[in-house]
Amino acid sequence: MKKGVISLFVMFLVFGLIVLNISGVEAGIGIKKYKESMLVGEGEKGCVVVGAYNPFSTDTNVIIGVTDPIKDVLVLQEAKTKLLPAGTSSDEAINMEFCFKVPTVYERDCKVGSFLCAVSCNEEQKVYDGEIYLRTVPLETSAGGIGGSSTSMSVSQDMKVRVRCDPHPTDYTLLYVLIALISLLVIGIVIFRKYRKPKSERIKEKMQELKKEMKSVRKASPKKKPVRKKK
Amino acid sequence: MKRLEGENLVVAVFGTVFLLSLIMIFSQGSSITGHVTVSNTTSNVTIQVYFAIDMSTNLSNGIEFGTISTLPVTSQNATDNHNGVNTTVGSPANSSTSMWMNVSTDSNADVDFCILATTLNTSSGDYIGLGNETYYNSSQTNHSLPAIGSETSITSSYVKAGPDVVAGNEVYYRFWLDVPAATPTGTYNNTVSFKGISAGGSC
Repeated sequence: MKKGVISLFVMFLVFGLIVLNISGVEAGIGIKKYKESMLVGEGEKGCVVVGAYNPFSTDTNVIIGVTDPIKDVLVLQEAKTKLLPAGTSSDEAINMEFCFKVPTVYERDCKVGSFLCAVSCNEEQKVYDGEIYLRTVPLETSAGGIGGSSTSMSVSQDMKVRVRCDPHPTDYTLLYVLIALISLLVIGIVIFRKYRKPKSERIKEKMQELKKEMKSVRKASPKKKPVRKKK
Repeated sequence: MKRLEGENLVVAVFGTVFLLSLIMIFSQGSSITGHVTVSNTTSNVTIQVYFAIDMSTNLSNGIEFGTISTLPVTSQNATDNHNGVNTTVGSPANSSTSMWMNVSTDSNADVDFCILATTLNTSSGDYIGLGNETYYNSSQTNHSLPAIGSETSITSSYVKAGPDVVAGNEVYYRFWLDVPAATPTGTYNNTVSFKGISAGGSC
């Protein structure tokens, strides 16, 4: 009797898990765009934000991303998966951030290789069109079909990244840093050479130098006979 | 005044050069613009468009074609092609598709749906060419809608498959599979992706 109750309980548990598992796959996703385009300077890190919401009845995991050609021009991309609770309305949309770094896209006039460069900004502003999307990430427990096609869904909106050009004259900073380092190195070597010997030895050397100097002074000045005073 | 000589002179000269370099570095830094490292561009303009979509349970469970024992097969129905409730008059009743995409009422824009798929393949590398999996979509469903006569091959890049769906409405799908005669036996899998975009945009 007891065994029967336990096995019935286990059956209900398994059935419940299966039902939960299947319903866990049914989930929706919403996107709310705040900006049509964004302006970022060369080499700067920028973050684009969109609202994600889920007005449906099941929690869902979403990830944010961008498509080509915006994707091609970005050198650093950071995106995290977020859980969207069921019943999140568009008014309660959760902000999702996609951060990236824009590489150098404007022409540079460099004096040495890629150093000592000036930017004149004579070109037209570079604009990259693409899409920002939110894609559902299957829950680890979601049921998978055996054979056939599994399905996924995403929502996307257009997005433009405009790269700002900041003109500047030749940047000599690197050269100055190099000169400063060399100067420090020379000063360091001189001081090191000066103080590496013990003090007594340094005094002896100084005495010898002084003696030499005195001798050279004596040689340089003609010998005068002492003048005798007449009595 | 005592004259600087030897090592002291060297230290004095290079010390001056060092200080001058520091001054130049700082003055250069202040004259050059555009070297900001971080800029957070949070949005502060009026909200333009928002929409939300979801899949029917049977579509989110995957598109299954069952077990095929005889080859070749043409237009094999997906198992959920005819097990739904009719939304429009058609006979027999309840033989519509149960696979659809829905646009939430919490949306302020119409939605275009786009579709793509990867190639159906097995873990051992056998595959069924992408052109063999077909679909069609319709705003209504009954025994004959979406119609097999209008079936279209799924492609590897997004194409429109359900245009201009108004908030609160659905777009219904049916899927069919052709399996060529020489196809090796095995379990073939792929992924079909749906994307919702603001109506009028490109996939």
